[in-house]
Amino acid sequence: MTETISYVGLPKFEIEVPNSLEEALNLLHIHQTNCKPLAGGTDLLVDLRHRLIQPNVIIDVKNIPELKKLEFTPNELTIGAAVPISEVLTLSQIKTYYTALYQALNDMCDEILRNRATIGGNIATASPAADTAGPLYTHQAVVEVQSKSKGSRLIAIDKFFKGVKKSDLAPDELIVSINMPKPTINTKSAFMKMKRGAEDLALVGAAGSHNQEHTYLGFTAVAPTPVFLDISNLIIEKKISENVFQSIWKEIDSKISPITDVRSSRDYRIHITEILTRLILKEIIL
Amino acid sequence: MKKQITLTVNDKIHEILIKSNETLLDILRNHLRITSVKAACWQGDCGLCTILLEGVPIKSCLVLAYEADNKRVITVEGLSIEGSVSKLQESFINNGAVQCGFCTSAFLLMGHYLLKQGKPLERKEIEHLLNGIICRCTGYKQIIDSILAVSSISSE
Repeated sequence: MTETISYVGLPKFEIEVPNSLEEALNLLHIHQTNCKPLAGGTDLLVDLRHRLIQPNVIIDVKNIPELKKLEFTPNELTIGAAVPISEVLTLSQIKTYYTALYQALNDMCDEILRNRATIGGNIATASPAADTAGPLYTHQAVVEVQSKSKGSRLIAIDKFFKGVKKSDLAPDELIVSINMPKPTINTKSAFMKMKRGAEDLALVGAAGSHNQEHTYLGFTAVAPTPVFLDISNLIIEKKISENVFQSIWKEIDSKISPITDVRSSRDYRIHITEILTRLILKEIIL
Repeated sequence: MKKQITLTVNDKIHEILIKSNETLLDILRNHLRITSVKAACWQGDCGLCTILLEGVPIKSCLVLAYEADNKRVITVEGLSIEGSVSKLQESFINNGAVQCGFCTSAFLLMGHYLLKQGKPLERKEIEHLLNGIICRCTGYKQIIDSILAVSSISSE
């Protein structure tokens, strides 16, 4: 990233404001890699300012009804890609049924940015530290994307991230919504994050969920992409002995490859991952 | 490409010709010369460019100017009638919540917003809710004291 402290204006671009999904998909189809969708802009405007991206066209997707949907039905929760996090948090069922997601959203970025930042944007950026990734996996989220060329398709969240800031989205595809099934009774989930200060990025993020059939774990900031594990087969009884924990840890350890950076060293990240895993398992299983 | 937008700032309506790549912060400082809205990090970290857009706090460096078309903006000047101070501003003075002053307008706007929600506030809660704005003089205690003081008066 360019170290820019003094004022640099944004690069030149044109703005399009489609009022329907069809209109937006047409624009994406025409402009392909020369355009970027704008929802909350909390990542996009920073990337523009630092010249990490220089699209000719910015497509503001905030007027599209499908992307503004926020709905909890008996079967599932649908969060439109352009719904600000502060609005998502107003839905009482988030706290009741999707605890891990609630805990992540409630502590994400800061109180002011949550009025603009969106879950759609968080996963579209595909940062290895994307706070919502772990909780979305533990809630078995499916991302609905659309494009003019391929129509609608559903991507399971564990197939969405492809690398550092790389996702499965084609240039002409737009995230429409994030969908999560209603969890069965007795499902418990939790999210924890280690960070330096109130509004810092995660050193390590960990999420987990457990019910009689399944136990899922999701980690962020420990590999080029978020790391997801289905450890259902390792949970034999409603108690985690040290032996069972070691077998779980062996699986996690083989999948994570944290880096050393300004926030923490590789070894410290591995240590924190182990601690957070123990805490999460205690929270969701015992 | 230029575009005309209508922006209501502190109840005054402005017609402004903007460029598509200008932010709301650019417009407030460079066109309207409202320099109480501070420009510092330009990437949403410091919170000093915080303003109320349709009554909700946002960081104006991360909002495109055109997004504010036909919307209402409140800056610190809009918190009181000229020549007087609001209760919260008075509380900042009484508690010595101003050191260098660079972050003061942002904290006043955020404090004003929190008080306007009408819920009684606890110290821990205020601490958490202020996490989007940085004071590099580190005088957070006095700022929190000031908001807490007004909150406890109005809930009495």
